[in-house]
Formats: sequence, C-alpha cells, structure tokens
Amino acid sequence: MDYYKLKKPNVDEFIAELRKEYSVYAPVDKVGITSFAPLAEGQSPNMDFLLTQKPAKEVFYPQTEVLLHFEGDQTTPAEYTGGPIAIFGVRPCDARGFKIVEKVFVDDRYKDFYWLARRKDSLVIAVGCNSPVPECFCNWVGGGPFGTEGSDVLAIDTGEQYILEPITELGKKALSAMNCLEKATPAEVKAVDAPKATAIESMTKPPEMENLKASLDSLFDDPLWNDVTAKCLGCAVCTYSCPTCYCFDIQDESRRGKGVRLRIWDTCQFPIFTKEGSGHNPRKSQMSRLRQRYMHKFSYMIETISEFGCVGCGRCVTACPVNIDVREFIVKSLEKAQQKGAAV
Amino acid sequence: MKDLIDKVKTIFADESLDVVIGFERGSIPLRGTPRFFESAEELDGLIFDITCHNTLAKYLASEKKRPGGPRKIGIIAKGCDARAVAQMVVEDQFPKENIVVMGVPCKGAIAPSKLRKILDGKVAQDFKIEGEIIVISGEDFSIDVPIVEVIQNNCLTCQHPNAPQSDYFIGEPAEPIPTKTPFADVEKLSTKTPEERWSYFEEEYSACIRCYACRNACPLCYCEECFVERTNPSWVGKGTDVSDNFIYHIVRALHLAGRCVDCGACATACPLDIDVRILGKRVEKEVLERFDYVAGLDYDTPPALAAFKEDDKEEFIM
Repeated sequence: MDYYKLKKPNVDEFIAELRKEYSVYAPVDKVGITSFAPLAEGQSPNMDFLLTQKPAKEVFYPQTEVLLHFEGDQTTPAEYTGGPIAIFGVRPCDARGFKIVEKVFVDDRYKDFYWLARRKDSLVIAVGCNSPVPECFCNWVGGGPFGTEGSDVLAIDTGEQYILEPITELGKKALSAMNCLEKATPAEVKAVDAPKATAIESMTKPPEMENLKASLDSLFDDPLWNDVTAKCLGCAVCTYSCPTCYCFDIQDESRRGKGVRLRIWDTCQFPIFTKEGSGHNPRKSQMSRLRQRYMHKFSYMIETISEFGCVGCGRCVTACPVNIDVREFIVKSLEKAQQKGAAV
Repeated sequence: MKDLIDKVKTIFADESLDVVIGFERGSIPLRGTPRFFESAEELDGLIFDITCHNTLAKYLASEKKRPGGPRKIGIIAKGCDARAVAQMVVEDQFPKENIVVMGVPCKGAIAPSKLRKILDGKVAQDFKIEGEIIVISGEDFSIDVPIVEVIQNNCLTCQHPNAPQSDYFIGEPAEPIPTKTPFADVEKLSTKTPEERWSYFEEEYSACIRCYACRNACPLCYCEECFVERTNPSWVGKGTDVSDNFIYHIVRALHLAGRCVDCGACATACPLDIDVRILGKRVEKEVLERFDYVAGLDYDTPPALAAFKEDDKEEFIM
C-alpha cells in the first residue's frame, strides 16, 4: 500500500480538495472549547489539541436531532441534506467509537436511518497520538494511540508533516486522487516507527482485561459497588462525553398541533431514565445507575456485540467533577473477584 | 498533613463520628477527590490542600436520605463548605446535631480546566506552594505559576476563606485573596449593552450539553425532583436548543436566590467551561442590596426570601 505525505503548510489545500466532495468536519475552537464542526470555506482547523471536550460521535449522531416534522396528523420525516462527511483530525479512540456505535445502530435486524444518513459515505481521517496523557487508556480496551479501527486513513504527525497511511479502499482512493500529496519514501514511512513505539510504551500497562467480564458478573451484588459509587454526583458528564454511549430519548415538542419529534442523547445516570409511569423506579439509587453503566460497557456489550463499550479515550476520567476513575474501578473489581474466587 | 490527620483522628474519637467527609489524593495529577472515611485507620489517607476543590457539603443531601437516617458526620470544611452546611441547617435540610464542622484554612482551589490549559499537554507529577506561586513539576519541566492564575474564579472574589461557623478549626486562618471586589465580574458585564450581554450569554450557553453537572455539584440544589425532569407538564425542552438551555440556567439561578454560597462547584464541574456562575452571582448581588443578606454565615438567620423585615426595600413593588 502506498503511503503519502502531507506537509503541514498544505493542510488548508488538503481540506480545500476534500471540500470538493465532502462536508469537512475538523476540530474548531469556539468560546474556549474545541469541537468537531463543519469547516467554512477557507477556515483552518485547530490540529494542536489532543481530545475535543465532546466526543466526535456527535458528527454522525448529534445530541439533538429532528426525526420528523408534524402538523395535525401529517408527518414529514426529516432528511439529512448535508452531503457526504469527511472527518479530519479525529483521534483513533473516537474513530474506533464510530465502529462500536455502528454495531449497535446497524445490524442484520435494524438499520438506523438517521445514523446511516450521515455515516454511510463518510471518510474518516484519524491522527495518531504521539503524546498520550495520563488519562488515556485506549491500550486497555483493544485500541492504541495509532489504532486504525474505524478510520479510512491514519495520519502520523512527524513534526513538519503528516505521513498518511491508507487503511481502507475508500481511504486509498481518496488519497490517490489528491493533488496536494506526495508519496512518502520508504525511509519516511520507516521513520514513524520509533515515535509510535515511544507513545505506546509511555502508556500504563493494562491489567488482565480478559477476566473483566467474568469478574463483574460475579460481583453484581458485591458491596464494592457502594464504595466505588459513593462519591458519584449522578450527572451526565461521563455518558455525554463518551464516544460509545448511544442511548437516546425521543421527545415531541409542539405548539398548536405543529411541531417536531426529536431524538436527544439520554443518560442512564438520571433517575428518570428508568422511572416508570407508575412512579416506580427499578434503579432507585445512584449506585444501581453507575453499576448499570459499568456492567453495560464491560459485560453486557461483550454479550451483544463482542466488544467493550469503551475506547479508553479518558474523557470521563478528565471531566468527572469528583474524579471517579473507571480504571481504578476496573482494577478494584479484578482484585475483588480474584479474592472472592480464592475464598470459595 | 500529619497534623491535620492527628487532629481529625482525635475529633473522630471524641465526637464518636461514624464518618468523616474529606479528601484523598485523586487518580490524576494535582487532583484531590472526595472520600468518606469510616475509621481512624482510613483517615491516614486524608489530605487537604489546593487540589481539593469539591464542595463536600453536597453529600449531606444523600446522607439525609440514607436508610436509618443520617450518620454522625464530620466534614472537612473550606469557608464555602461551612457556609453550605449552615445554609442547609437554616433551611432545615440537615440536623445540626448530626454534623461536626471541621474548618480548614482555604487558600483557593485549583480549577482543573485552568490547570489543563497551563500544562498544555505536559504531565505534572508534583507541586509545591512558595508564597503566592505554585511550582508545578514533571519529569522534565518545572514551571512557576501565580496561584491566582490557576484557582477557581470564585476564589478570586472569596471573602470567607475560613468557615464563618465551625465546631473545630484546624490550622491558622487564611487571609482572603484580594484580587477583585466581590461583584467585579457582574459589574463588568453590567457595563455592556443589552445586545452585547445577549450575545455573550447566547454564545456561552449554546455550548451547554445539559449534563446537569452544575446542578448536581451544587450543595444547595437538593430538590428531590428538579423541574427540568418533570414531564407532565414539561417545563423545559429536553434538547439543547439555546432557549431551553437559558430556561434551565435562569431558573436554577433564581431558585438559588439568597441561598448560593458561591463555592464555584457549578463552574468547576462544567465539562465545557461555561461561565455558569455569573447568573447566580448577579442574583447574589441583588439579594445583598435589597435584603442585606449573605447566605450561610450562621445557623439562625432565616433565609432572605423566607423572612420579612419592615425595612425591606420595596420600591420594585408597583
């Protein structure tokens, strides 16, 4: 496979070429936050960042999305008209998140119309992470700072330029059509091995993640949950900043018989998520709600899609107001299950 | 820290406490995290320093709902924590006899988002305080940062760094950090035109993702069911339209009128760094000017909006 190089001064030209076929989403600064937004003509992305505060999933799965318009008993489905999407500058964890959410939204039985509308012709160009931070743990859950799952192209930052590695046929086709790229020499391709190895080496080594599901399944009623959830405030920071949380609520908003049906991100951390019409709530305590989140991600999703519902981006670790760290929870559960097993 | 631990252990025994709500070292650099210490041995992990920003009084609301009633609690209290405790007692939300306030001198608390910007990807490992400077160091760097540049905005206008009321006070009282007058931020915004203010708020609040971290971190937001969660009637849209975001934040600020202790927990909890504190601060100013009331200074004065005084200003009544 041919590798290409993109000199940093040519990034704007690269984006201009992408714009001929795609709506180009890239990290953009606005009021002190960086998030993925469509670039206007001539607008440059901010490539000098590690992670956006909000997960990149919002490009394909917006937090608030109109499903249909209604007036009286007439309904009109909302249609996505933005054209094919290219995302440039997404990190490998976020890109892998697309693949995991897609396993939920699109399978043999169901095909989520709204997700597919944005996602199906998309081109994902990820940028590998030369300097993971202490909150990063993609290497615990099957990813890596230069992971390629979910990406069509992986860009590796060498300082003056990006070396572009085509991952899929689509990526290969897109790169070969670009005028602003040159082919990378074998020496240039080889030169990225060292920084890649350094980045991977710098990350905390994972515990025995293959034991996690069985461990959690054996701990469902364990007092451990009370300890790890005691300080939880019950907000939605962890779920809304998660690249793989996909739950949504559907709400109608109307005035005088006219309105919209919305799909809105929902969160298992709010009591109303499970509150029934009778007033009964099967997940009454914050302990049971956070337990659900962790069980879902690290046990139930293994059963349903054979993947953890976690890409190790570390956003929940960074953003949790009370510093609940999912990695501490994982380590504690593995230890506790082992002790329990030993005691039997 | 040894001195603090020893004193708290003594109080733990003398007062027959069931639990001390305090801080331990967190999982990420320069971060303290809340911890419920249930024995004298556990208290060996207790810390209190500039990395301990959370408002621990928040946990009284869930403690109150504990099956079998609240335990006998000791709380490590910054000025704002102690004020939040007092306000909860005044509002009859927590029995004073169940809580022992252990005041600690607060010299400001690091706002993690400011720290992240200063570090800009560098990995901090340690810090030390040298006068008005915090020296932050990692494997291959050491930077001197003025403390006022890394602490929460509310700390910059705080007039109560020490608990106004406490059962014990551990350490020497801290001096307020006099960088701004209490309402400097509000006054600055007031000089703008309505259009400028509107666009400021529109820009800030359009970023809100309605995670309710601000509400859930707030020690005085203890309603069993928040109005935003009502579905019949639905008082506010559940999506992130900026008009719905406004309704949520404005109603929250008004619900906290005369109750907010300006601990800054709301702003620090916000994952998108929105200035969620400014509305509350504006209301706080109003309450002070009209009713001469500051929340959480003692256990007796009835809340501003629950009391009537003959000399209350009433020029706004038609």
